[in-house]
Order: sequence, then structure tokens, then C-alpha cells
Amino acid sequence: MRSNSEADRAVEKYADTVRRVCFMHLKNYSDVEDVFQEVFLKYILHEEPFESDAHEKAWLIRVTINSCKDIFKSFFRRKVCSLEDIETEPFYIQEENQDLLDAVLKLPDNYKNVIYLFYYEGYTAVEIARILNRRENTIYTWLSRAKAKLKEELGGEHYNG
Amino acid sequence: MNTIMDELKKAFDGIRAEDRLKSSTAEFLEKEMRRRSLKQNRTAFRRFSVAFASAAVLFFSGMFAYRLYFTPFTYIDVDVNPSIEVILNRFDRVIDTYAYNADGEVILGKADIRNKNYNEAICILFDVIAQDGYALDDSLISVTLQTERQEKESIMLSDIESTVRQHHGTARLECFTIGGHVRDAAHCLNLSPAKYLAIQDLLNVDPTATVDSCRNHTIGELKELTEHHSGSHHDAAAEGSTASETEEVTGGEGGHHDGGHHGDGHH
Repeated sequence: MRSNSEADRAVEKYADTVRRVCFMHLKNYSDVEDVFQEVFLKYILHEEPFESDAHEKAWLIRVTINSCKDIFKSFFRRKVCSLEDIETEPFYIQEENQDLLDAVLKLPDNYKNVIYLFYYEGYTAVEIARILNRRENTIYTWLSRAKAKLKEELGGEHYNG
Repeated sequence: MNTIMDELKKAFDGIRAEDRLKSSTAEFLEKEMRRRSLKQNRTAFRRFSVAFASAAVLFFSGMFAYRLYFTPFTYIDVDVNPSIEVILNRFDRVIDTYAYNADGEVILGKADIRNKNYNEAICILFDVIAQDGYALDDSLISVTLQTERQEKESIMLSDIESTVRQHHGTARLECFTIGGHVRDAAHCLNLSPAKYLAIQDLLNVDPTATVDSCRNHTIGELKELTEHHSGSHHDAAAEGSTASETEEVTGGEGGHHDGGHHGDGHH
């Protein structure tokens, strides 16, 4: 088990990254809290050393994506929704970004992931394939389809990528 | 015009983990780490306790089994001239042997009787005694038995008698039980109980005899001396004389064959 200071450092360093992945997949705050706790708990229990910071970050992204998927697999969550679940979401989103983020959120989960990892985190298709445990060609396909959908959603004026 | 990459960067940059989310996660992790560490300690302690308890059970079981097996219950003393004591446990198996004299040591050196049943042990012992030329036709074989198992006393005595007879059919055999106090008194003088009693008999009739002067005689010789002095002793007794050695040997432990039982051997 990792130390308390390692846990604090990881939360401080990767909280925003984990939050962005959660933002793409989860709709309510309590789920985000649950995923945060699960991801960082897995991190402190992961005793194998990471080769580099990049390896550590990629590991956390993969674990976060899997945890988000698990949330929806849960029978209890699929059937029950508490009042707390309806709590606030992206109050911090600026209006100018709203359309673009809405368009991203409308994409299927796999497309959201590749868009985020490719455009925001700057990973290559090979690296994304490794993180998502898919073939490289699949990543290219998803990326191409995701771009097309975004173009369709946002129109040519907004889209120039 | 901004590319989609710039747009997305700008949009996602605005998404940050709330402070309360970070602090609640840190708090949860701290609690969880403390809980797990406590659980690990408890598990380690429980494992240690179980291991310790198992070791203790094994140790005490071992000690109990050791005590059960190695506690002396029966003493068989053989005196031909080799003087030997065979010590049995509650299971009638040989746990120890003792030689009162050098001849006895030689016999025990040749007879491997440890952990054997008393019948087998006596059998082996008398085989070796016969091979070494002791217990010839006119010899006197004395065997005494002292046991905590009163209910088996007569069976054991009869077993020993018949085993000895099988090996030395024509030798004279006296086989009897003794009390623990006789064995203790004999041990104090490093004598077999049978020889101790024979010396005691002699000292009663020969005031000049001492334990040390009699120690190296066979029981047969001691009995002959006793018979020889019997007549003169009666005369001396009539004159009111007392043998000081007698007091020393008997030591208040009772007379000859105190509480014992004579076997029907040849006398």
C-alpha cells in the first residue's frame, strides 16, 4: 500500500484529469465522488512502481474510464436514483464552450474517449490503443467517425480540425 | 479561426476537480488507509496468535506425550551376578536400564532392549546372559518386580517367570514383588533389591559382615553364607549380641520381602 503523502500527491496532481474523464461519462456528482474514491483507492493499493509520470497518468486514465463503465454496469445504479444524484454538474462551464462540450458529450463513449485523449491529452493513436486496450486501426476508425460526428453537430463554421 | 484542438483544449481546461471533491477524496483515502492498516495489523496479530496457539498446543501435547511415555511405572531387577534394572513405562515398554555392576554393564551393552515390551526385553536379556556364561545350572537367578500397576503385578510376575524358565530351565529362580521403599533403600546402596535383601539376611546373622564386603558376592553365595552363619547367630543371639550393620542396611524399610510375594521358583 502506498503512503499517505503519495496519495495526497496523486490527488493533487491528477484530480483534474480524472475529473475531465468523469465529466465525459457521468451525469451526477455522487457518481463522480464514487469514481474518485475508487480510482485513487486503486492507486494507493497498486504497489508496482510506474515507469514514468506518463505511465502513471495513462494508468489513472484507463482505471477512471473502466470505473465509469462499471458505474453503469451496476444493477443498483441502473434501477435506483436518489435525490442527491440530481445534484449540480458543470457549473464551471463557460458559455462559449458549452456548444462544443455538449457536442462531445453527445458522442458515444468510445468516441468521447478518443476525442479527449487525442485532442486534449495529445496521445497518439498507438498510445490510445494501449490505454483503451484496442487495436490501433480501431482507434483510427473511432477518431475519424468522432470527428465526422462533431463536424456534423457543430457545423463547418465551428469545426476546422 | 481556432482549430477544434484549441477549442477542445480551452473547453476541457475549464473543467477542474472541485476543492471539496479533492478534500473528500483525500479524507476517504486517509480513513481507508487507516482502516486497512488496522485490519492488516489485526490480521497479522490474529495470524501470530493462531501460530503461537498452535505452537503452544504442539509443545504441550509433545510434553504431555513425552511425560506419558517416559514416566517410570515398573521396575524389574535381575540379579544373576550381572545386576541389572529394567525400567518400564505405563505401556510396559522399556524406557531405561541401569547396571549395578560391571557385569551388568557388559550385558546391557549387548542387549538392545529399549522401547521393547517387557517380555521381549527379558527374553533378549536372558539370551545375552546365557551367551555370556552366566546362570549355569546351579546358579540362582533373582528377579524382583515393583510396579505402580497393582492389577497387573501377578500377570507380569508370571510372564517374567515363564520367560526366564524358557531360557534357564534348570537354574534356581526366585521371583517376587517388592515395595517401592525396598527398591529405594537398595538404590541408596547401589544394590539390586534382591541382593539388598540377601545382604540384610546375612547381616542379621553375621555381625562382622558389612555391605561393602558383601557387595561383590552373588546372591547364591550370600545365601550360603547366611545359612552357614545361622547356627552361630543363634548362639550369639542367646548371648545378647547385636549386629550394628543390620540397623544400617534395613534402615527401617521393613524386613525381607516386605509386602512381597515369592514366586514358586527353585530355592
